[in-house]
Amino acid sequence: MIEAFIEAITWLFRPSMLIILVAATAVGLFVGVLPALGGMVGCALLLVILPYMSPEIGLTILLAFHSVTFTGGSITAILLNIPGTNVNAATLIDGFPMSQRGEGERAIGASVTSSSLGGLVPVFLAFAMIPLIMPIVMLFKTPEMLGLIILGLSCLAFLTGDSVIKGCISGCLGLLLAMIGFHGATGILRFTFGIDFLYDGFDLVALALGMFGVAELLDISIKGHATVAPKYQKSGGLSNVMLGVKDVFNHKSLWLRSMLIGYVAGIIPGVGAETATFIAYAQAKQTSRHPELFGTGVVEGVIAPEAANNAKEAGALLTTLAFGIPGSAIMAILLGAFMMVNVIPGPRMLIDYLPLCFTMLLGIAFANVIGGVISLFAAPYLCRAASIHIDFLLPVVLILAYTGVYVLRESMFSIASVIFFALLGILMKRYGYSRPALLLGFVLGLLFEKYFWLSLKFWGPLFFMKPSFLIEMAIVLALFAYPYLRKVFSRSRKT
Amino acid sequence: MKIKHSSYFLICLILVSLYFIGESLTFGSREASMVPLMLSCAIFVMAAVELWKELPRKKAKQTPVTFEASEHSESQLSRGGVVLGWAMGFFLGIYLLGFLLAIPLFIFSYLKFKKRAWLVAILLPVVITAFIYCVFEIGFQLQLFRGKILELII
Repeated sequence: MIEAFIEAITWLFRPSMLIILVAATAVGLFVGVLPALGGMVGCALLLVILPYMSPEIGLTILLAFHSVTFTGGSITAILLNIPGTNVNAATLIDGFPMSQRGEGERAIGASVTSSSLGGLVPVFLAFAMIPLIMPIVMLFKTPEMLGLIILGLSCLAFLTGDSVIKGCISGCLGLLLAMIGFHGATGILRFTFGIDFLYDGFDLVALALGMFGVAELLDISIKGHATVAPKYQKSGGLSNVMLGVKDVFNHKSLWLRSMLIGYVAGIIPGVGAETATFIAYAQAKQTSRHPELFGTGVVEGVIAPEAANNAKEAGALLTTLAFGIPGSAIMAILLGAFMMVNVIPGPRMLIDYLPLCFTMLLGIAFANVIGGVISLFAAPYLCRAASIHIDFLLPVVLILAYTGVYVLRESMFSIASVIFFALLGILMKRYGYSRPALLLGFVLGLLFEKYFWLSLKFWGPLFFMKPSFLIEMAIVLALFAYPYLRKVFSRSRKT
Repeated sequence: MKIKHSSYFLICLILVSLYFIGESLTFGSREASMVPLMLSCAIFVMAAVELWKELPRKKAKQTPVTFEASEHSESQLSRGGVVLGWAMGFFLGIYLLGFLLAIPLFIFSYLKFKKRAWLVAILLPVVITAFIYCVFEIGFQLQLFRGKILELII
């Protein structure tokens, strides 16, 4: 394990890696500031350059990029009352009133420090947890892996669709889309409609870019919303920033509690980052000596959600790496990114790719430090990026998406598939279907089929009677039964 | 009685799942067909249940079936058509003219369509085309598609 750690440090501190990491962090902050884009669209676009890099560099910059987008999003939430991402919504409750009172710099100092430390400390928690998790994940065999895939899909389907059925349809549709193309075990072509391009199936990049990148921008254009109405734009200086930094250290226990809330919420698949930040905000208010001041611009209201949002992602990453269960759309994209470079997250990940895991975790820690420093000094300038209009973003993102996806297979069908998935994405979003569940289904589709047949082969048709598999299915059932049981209990209480 | 737009989406899903069920049965190998067949059947059943839930119920006074008109405003639909038209048009532009011609043309015409200033409408296409050329053709040493028209001329 120490050897793996040393190998990771060697990788991370190569000059080329450091330069790319700093660049990815700066771009991540910039993208986080843009309300129309956000980390998800940015990560989908980054998938395009992934095949041209080694897994160590590609995956580390992807994670570094993602880990600072929330930090960037908090800047616009505080200064412009517009959260860069939904996750930053809790921050503006107290951040913006502080800014209006002339304490914007202090709020930014507190938010950036809290957010960066919230991303940094859980990385070391993850280091501590890896040796504890390893023996557990080693117990997982193919039926349990199949169960994990079903569990992961169920979590996303249950929590991200308008209804459970719509979520399940999305997950199954994703699994089915993954079946398109050449079937490795039998050599049969499945659902190719006679199109040569489909022999290799759809590209994950085309699906992710279409569903999350292009669909999101087209939808914003259709709705006719300007990206940001920059009417109120307060430029902050640096004089009070250090005061905000000190605030975090003065509220150590609040920060620690909020960070742990975020971390635990991240480990549980499907708990959204928005939920984690609002829980952290609520506990800050409940435990405060002056709860009545919350909402009027108190620094605790900024520290708590910001500590939770980055910590949540670190927790979610651990679940994604160790069990292959992504808890959110962005983790599903990351899971897809791992598979693109032939790294399959799951029980074997921590054994076969331990140096890579350490490199990624150290990369996140590094990005959070660099991101924090950049944000503290460049917040007022970063804020200006929020006023970039959708009219400029749409053609630029379309061009990057089309060009990026074309070069992967040098086929115009790749671009056509981006348009197809963008249309499907818009419809799914409008009608309340779960796009993250579809993406996860697509990413795990072939593994699902493989584990299904391997389980049948080695454990026979009664593989689903294995106790561990039954436990997993019991969790899935409990997940689906929970809303109905809650209704029944609330009715019985009333009577 | 109104039929929701989402119901049409569900009908499409049912038709697609039926097609996939039919296709799965033609594979001739249990290993290739079993999982897709299970998934298609699951989608079919769930979409049918959801459609049944969404279909309008009989009420005391039955009104004729109409298309739902109020779900999205007309302006939003026309804007949707325009935006999708641009996305498709850019695709067609690449197919005919190639990336290096279609990109500046697309940005310029889109920005002028949005009534943006001439300076921005000229500068942005130049910068973006140069960026794409440098990254993909020089950096990654890939040849971007030159377009059908150029292919025919050469």
